[in-house]
Amino acid sequence: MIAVAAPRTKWVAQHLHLAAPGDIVAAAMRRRLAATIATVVMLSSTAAWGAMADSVSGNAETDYEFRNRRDCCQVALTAAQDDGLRKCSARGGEPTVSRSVRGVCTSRIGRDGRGNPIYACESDVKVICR
Amino acid sequence: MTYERSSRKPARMGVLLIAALLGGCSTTTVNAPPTTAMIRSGFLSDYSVLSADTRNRGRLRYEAPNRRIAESEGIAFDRIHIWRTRDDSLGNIEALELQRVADDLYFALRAQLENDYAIVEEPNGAALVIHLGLTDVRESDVPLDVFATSIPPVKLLSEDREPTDAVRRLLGAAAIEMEIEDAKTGEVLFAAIDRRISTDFGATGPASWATMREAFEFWANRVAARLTASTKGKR
Repeated sequence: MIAVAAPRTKWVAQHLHLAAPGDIVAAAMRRRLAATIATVVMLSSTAAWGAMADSVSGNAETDYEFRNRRDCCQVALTAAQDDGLRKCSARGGEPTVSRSVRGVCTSRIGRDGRGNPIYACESDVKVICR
Repeated sequence: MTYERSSRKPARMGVLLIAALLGGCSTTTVNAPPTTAMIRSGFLSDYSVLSADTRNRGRLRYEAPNRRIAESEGIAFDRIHIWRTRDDSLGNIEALELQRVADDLYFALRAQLENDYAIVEEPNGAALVIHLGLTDVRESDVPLDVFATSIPPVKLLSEDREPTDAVRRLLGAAAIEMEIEDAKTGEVLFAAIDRRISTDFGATGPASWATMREAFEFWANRVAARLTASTKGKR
């Protein structure tokens, strides 16, 4: 019985990937390694997702009411920043308020009643949100 | 080839000498619209009123006639702006570096103006507002990449970290634009564009933060002297 059972155990061990008693430590290390890799991948994915979720886009646009692009962009950027802060709070995040604002400002130029240039602006600002 | 060059040299020298003498003798400004090479970024309210300084190419000024600024009138700084076109964006420049540029520009002008004017921190309480910007934009209808910071600034970067190539290139290409307006009426009292600062830096920009600061201080000294002469009749 024993002589018959031994090759069967070996066959089972080979085909079901069961380790022989001498390989148990190596298998445990492989499992630990696999678990570690899985954990690292999971944490990296979470961090990448967190980084993507780290900023919220705020948008705003103004009417034709500014005689220079400076004031027009400043108002649009401030409004876009406020929009980003609101969106961040609405999603339950905590916005980082900076004394500086950084964003894109696109302006359109029209003419007022006296023919002077008058600006309207659109702005897009990224707000850091955690 | 060598012979031709040497034969033209005296003539060229003569032309340069005459130009230098004419430039040196003249202290007047002429009313001339900015050329296409000049900036019309849209930072200022009205570019058509600017006068070219015949002695200093790349400099344009406007001074409201008969307007005196009294010592008691408070002057406040609006946000300091840095502009670039979207295509050649500010994206590759760290916020801390932009902050330093804006802060140093502010400190340079403030240090010059506080000798003659009362600088107030809160724009709401000021009679006059200064708008100051560093612009690398030549057309007024292109999308902008904007960095705007409120004042008073705080020092964030340590001195031992020198400017990156990206911020140096920006400084090498940018102009300084400035406008002072009456806070109540919106009347523009003084406006200036200065591209001289980029000539000082050269095309590759300042080698260090100290070089940038010196150039800002030089610019601020010159513009403050002009402003004081214009609004107080001094100097």
